[in-house]
Amino acid sequence: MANRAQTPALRLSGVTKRFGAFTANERVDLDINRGEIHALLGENGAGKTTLMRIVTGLYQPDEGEVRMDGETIRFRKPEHALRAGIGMVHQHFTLVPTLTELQNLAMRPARIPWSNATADVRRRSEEIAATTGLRINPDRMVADASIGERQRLEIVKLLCRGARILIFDEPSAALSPGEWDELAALMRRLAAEGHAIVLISHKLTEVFAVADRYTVLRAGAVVGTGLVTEVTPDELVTMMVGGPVMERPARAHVNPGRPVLTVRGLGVARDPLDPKSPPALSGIDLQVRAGEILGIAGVAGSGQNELVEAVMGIRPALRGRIELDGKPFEDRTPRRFYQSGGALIPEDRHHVAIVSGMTLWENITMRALRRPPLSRRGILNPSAARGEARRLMAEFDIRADTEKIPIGRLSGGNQQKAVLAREFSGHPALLIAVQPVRGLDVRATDFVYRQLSEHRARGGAILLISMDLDEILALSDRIAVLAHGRIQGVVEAEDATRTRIGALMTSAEEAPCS
Amino acid sequence: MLMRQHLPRVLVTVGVIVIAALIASLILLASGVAPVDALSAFWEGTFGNGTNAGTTLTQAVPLLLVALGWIVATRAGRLHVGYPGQVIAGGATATAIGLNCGGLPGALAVLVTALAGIAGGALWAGLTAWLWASRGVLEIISSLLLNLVAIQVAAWLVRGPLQGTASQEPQTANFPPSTIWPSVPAIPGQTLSFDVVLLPICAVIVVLLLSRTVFGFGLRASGGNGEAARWLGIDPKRGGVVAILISGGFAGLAGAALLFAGTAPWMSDGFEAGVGFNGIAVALLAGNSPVFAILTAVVFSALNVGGTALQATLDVPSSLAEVLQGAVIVLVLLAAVLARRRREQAPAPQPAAAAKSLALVGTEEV
Ligand SMILES: Nc1ncnc2c1ncn2[C@@H]1O[C@H](COP(=O)(O)OP(=O)(O)OP(=O)(O)O)[C@@H](O)[C@H]1O
Ligand SMILES: [Mg+2]
Repeated sequence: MANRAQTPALRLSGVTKRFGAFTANERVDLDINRGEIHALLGENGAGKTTLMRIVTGLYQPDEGEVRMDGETIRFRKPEHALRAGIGMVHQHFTLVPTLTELQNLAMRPARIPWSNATADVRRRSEEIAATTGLRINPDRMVADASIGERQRLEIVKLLCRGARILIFDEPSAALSPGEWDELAALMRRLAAEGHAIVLISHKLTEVFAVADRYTVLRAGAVVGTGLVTEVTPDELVTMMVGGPVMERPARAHVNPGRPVLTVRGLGVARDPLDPKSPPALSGIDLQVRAGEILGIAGVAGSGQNELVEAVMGIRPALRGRIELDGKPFEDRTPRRFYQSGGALIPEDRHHVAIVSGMTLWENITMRALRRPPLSRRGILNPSAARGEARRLMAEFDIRADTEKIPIGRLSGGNQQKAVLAREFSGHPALLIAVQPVRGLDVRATDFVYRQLSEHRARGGAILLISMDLDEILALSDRIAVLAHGRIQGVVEAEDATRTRIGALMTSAEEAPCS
Repeated sequence: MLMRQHLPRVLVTVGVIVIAALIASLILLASGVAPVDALSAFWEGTFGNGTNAGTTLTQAVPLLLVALGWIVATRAGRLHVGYPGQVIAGGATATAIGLNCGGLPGALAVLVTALAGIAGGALWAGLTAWLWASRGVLEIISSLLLNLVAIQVAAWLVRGPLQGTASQEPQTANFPPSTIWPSVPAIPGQTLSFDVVLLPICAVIVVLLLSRTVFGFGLRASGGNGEAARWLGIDPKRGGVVAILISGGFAGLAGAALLFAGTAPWMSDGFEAGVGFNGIAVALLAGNSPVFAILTAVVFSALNVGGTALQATLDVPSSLAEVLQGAVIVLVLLAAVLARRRREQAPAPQPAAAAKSLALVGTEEV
């Protein structure tokens, strides 16, 4: 454990960061000690990411100073911070998928441009594997690695560069529970070795599982800090949002109506360009009815992405039929999917759901804008669209100064809320929601769960795909378990327990099918 | 608000012009000409009298048209560089048709030549668009190669099918008078063509197209994040193809303007005169803002016209104008790189965007 008398590894004092008139961080004081895992908490837009970007040299503070081991530091870019030993694992990985893992590790601004770093890096990565147990697969393409493995590579990359202070920004958002357990164990090991670790997370269970100390930010300022053992989850929530979050009402009974999405015998190849590649999905039968939430449980990579892409028409299906809103849905394209009453909250927000360079209002109305009343005969009505965007910003509590800000500048959670606002606002017959609360704070999560329930109560059909079993259990009327590209079974909500679902997930491993 | 938004760009432009002027003075001093004399000769040659101002403004039109084409294409994320080829294709088509339009009444003949230019440029660009959309050939490469083809085709045309019979020069016969685009009669020398009305009209059309139409919205979404556009039901391929065609149409119209509103009423093989690439520089200097590009097009045109004037009056080497244009381009890129460094509140790093950053430097949100 950390020695309280020693100088902290990282000390922030009075750090203030403004974007125009907006203050993202206000006189923040923060100490991070060696050997500790420090949880940085706060609601969406509280300024957590901004603060850590200051530490890693992506932003410069307007006021205040950052000290590392007692010495004032001022980095102008992340490379400098990394040289000094501060590394950040971003939510969006910085790996090159077409290179091998080792080549990715060897990629860095070299001091001697023509030197070949590969041998050196191979040795370093072996040392790291010996001390931390973090093993990489040096000759595998990054494209073939799972999300969890990529994240591990990202961590090895930082350790290879000699990082002693490691910052994790919402690391579990993309991980399955098993992968999270591994990451948690790794963080503990790294801390025990004397690394200092900052963990940004919205999941309090994670915080209580690994963190030693916490600091809560609200509206950019520190509102509380202390030992995790001396605080309760409710107290933390109150600190973060300024009051307790209401108990969620019990699920009302809704009689399911007509089928909205029917999938029969769907088969999809793993490689969309090569029909003969091994199947990613085979023999999928599913039905989602109006007023019903069908949950799809399964570990990441079981075929969830392929299912969504096949239904949307992004990826061709080898065989099988799909019916949407009672009609055959044959020549599938995303456009027809939306026209037939579909809506989608995709998993990979950054790449497929937003255009970061365009404004918040353009992103919120990205689909409505191309139809009356927001446009007529191909001519847009921007003021009406901005009004609509402002209405949705209020309804979905999207925190932004103005609707004209590029959406890329919003905090991660607020971007997600903008996507939710867009997809809910069209009153879709079918909503496909993949990890809908990824990156959202407690209050926003609660809000989304309510929205999903209300949508169901209004007779909407929802296909909920999530790797978080608790989320699936809490919301679904029926649960289909997807493993290795097949539906292993469908369970009614009343009969669903973690063990039953877990058994279905693993039963597939005994009967390999790929 | 508007002012504050545009202030940095105005400052950059002014800075670039000042530094370019300093470089010019150094070169002038080195070649033994007093900068003050040069300045007054430059002013006299560009805006000093109606005739010269007319030339400067008229020559700005093709530059702006190419710049607008570049702006539309880059907004859709399609960085092609086929403008020289499309200018040539548009000009050659307009010539081929214009030479046979002697019998048409003036207004109609002018319209026909303009439309022929647009069609020729768009068709030439269509090759690039088709290769990209159906074969996946990078548009920047195919368009570059097609430029070389267009130059050869133009050289063949003026020595073969389109060669005038009167002389053995590699040029076409004179255009029928009715096809020559009208110019303002009050200006001595008739140097101010009426096509300068295209400057504001086309700039405004592009602004409205991008900011006020569903089509332009789709274009910007496709250019900003093609994958997201596809997932949101916008077809980035269709947008990209149409954007390349539109840019080709603008370049083709520029080709027609060069010939039918130009100084010589015939087509020779060198008529393109660097307009295709200078138009790109005009757009970059304007930060890809259509309205601002009017100004930068006039600046570039003035450098050209003024350079010629300096050569005529002070015997300064004619390459001075080219050196200055080169310096402006380098300075603009430098300013853009510095601005990027400075702009620390860049949104989260975006792998796809990084590749395009150079071409989109300082891109304005319409
Ligand atoms: N480059 C920027 N320009 C303008 N405003 C910004 C910029 N970056 C962040 N902000 C604003 O600063 C605030 C804090 O953002 P930050 O990303 O730090 O939040 P966060 O605590 O990480 O939230 P989340 O949990 O949603 O990720 C937000 O309101 C955001 O809109
Ligand atoms: Mg964040």
